[in-house]
Amino acid sequence: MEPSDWELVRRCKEGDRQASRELVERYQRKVVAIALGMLHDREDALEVSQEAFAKVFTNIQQFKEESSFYTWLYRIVVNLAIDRQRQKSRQPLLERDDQQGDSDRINAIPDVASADPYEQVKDKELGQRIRAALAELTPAHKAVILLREVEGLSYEEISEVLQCSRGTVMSRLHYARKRLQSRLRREL
Amino acid sequence: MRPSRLALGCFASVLLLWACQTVASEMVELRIETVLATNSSQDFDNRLTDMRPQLRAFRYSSYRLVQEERRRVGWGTQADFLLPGGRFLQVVPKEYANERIALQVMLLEGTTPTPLMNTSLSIRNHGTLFVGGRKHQEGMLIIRIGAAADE
Amino acid sequence: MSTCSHAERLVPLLSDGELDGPLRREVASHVSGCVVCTGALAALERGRELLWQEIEEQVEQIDFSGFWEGVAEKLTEPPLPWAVRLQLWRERWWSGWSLSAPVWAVAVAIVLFVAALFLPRPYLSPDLVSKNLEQSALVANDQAQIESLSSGATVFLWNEPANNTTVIWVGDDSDGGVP
Repeated sequence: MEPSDWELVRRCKEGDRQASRELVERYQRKVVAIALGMLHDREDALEVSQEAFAKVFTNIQQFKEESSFYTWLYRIVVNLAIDRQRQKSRQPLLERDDQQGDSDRINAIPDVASADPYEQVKDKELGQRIRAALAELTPAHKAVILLREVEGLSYEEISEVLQCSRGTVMSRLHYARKRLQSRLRREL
Repeated sequence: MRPSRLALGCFASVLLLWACQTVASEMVELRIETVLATNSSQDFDNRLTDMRPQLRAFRYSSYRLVQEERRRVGWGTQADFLLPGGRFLQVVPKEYANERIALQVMLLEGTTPTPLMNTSLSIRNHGTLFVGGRKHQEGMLIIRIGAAADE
Repeated sequence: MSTCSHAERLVPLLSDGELDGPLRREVASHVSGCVVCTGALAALERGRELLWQEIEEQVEQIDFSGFWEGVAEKLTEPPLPWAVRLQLWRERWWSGWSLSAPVWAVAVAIVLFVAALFLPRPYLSPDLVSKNLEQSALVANDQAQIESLSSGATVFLWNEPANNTTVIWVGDDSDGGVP
């Protein structure tokens, strides 16, 4: 039977490297998904995700097992993503463009299953519109909609991650959904 | 930097500052703070320190901030705020005159078609208004509505 | 009898599993018989599906084979000395502000000029003084002024001028009144 998060955290606290690796492998996709949704850049998302795990293990002794491991992890990755976004917005535009290769751009044509060129273009366009709609949201609204729609967290869990009240989560989710729906009206 | 480019840059800066000032006055910042008031304890949420004098009007023993939302909207634009317990607050800032902001405020609850409250009122700029009386969990919800127009 | 404009607002809460008890049953029952709310629920679920699919597709394109090694590397990196961190911080925050002194001087001059244009002037003509006094009389009334009020419940209204507090109390009729 797979060990629980608590067990792995306990083993991490005792210095068990393999337990750390298991935790990373268990949550890496989820953490990268949040970072991708927040940052829209693969390289940044991967780096922020790895930093988040490193920060978790550096501070693992302070983690109290009353709260859940993944809410703590998500809180760290959301905060690091917000910091990274803030940092990038202060970089000169030219410097940012130079650093990004086409392979890192999220709007590179995905390898979709459909062989129909029309479907491929439609899917690519839809993907771009979803990404554009998401990018228009503030970090606070992006975080709440990603945690709810992509990670499936409850309002209570989201409030724990974002350190705000449940009512604030509800309100931000309502606003974020309205904004996305107005941008994706055709598809909905 | 060449003098001609510098001059152009200065002119553009002045224009931009003037434009920002104009646009900013077209928006209103609405602030909705939802407080849970109970008599089940003596706890006072430190986040409500600035509201303490006003909360004395209610005579509960405990106050806790459960939600806070700020939204910048244009005049005549409706802002929806989802409140705890499936309630909605709709606020429309209508106009600004004599340093007062005219608002339309509607409170809706559950699936009841009739609004619980629909009011047209004015508050001074940066002023507030309280709406209360709905039960929630072990206490009552008290909502402070604030509005600030860029002058 | 429920109407759609209200039940539609509770559809997201229903979809997120955040309603419980009688309200959930009431809203679910309404949605099942209402075309508008069924559509709203479907749109919500479709939006969720689209967002989830888009993010998942991006994640699928990522090769995680070296991910753990990247984490391990960051764990073994020694923290930067504080002097270097300060330097990086300075570069990060001030890289966009590296201008020469004459340009700074001109920029400050422009800001002062614009401030002089838009800030209120200290001197007021007599006409303006009397106008401002009239406005002050209105503004001194810090209370909310209610122009109209309608309600489906019992409403109490009171002012406490000492605390600049105006309260609209929408009573729960089953409960009976003000606090």
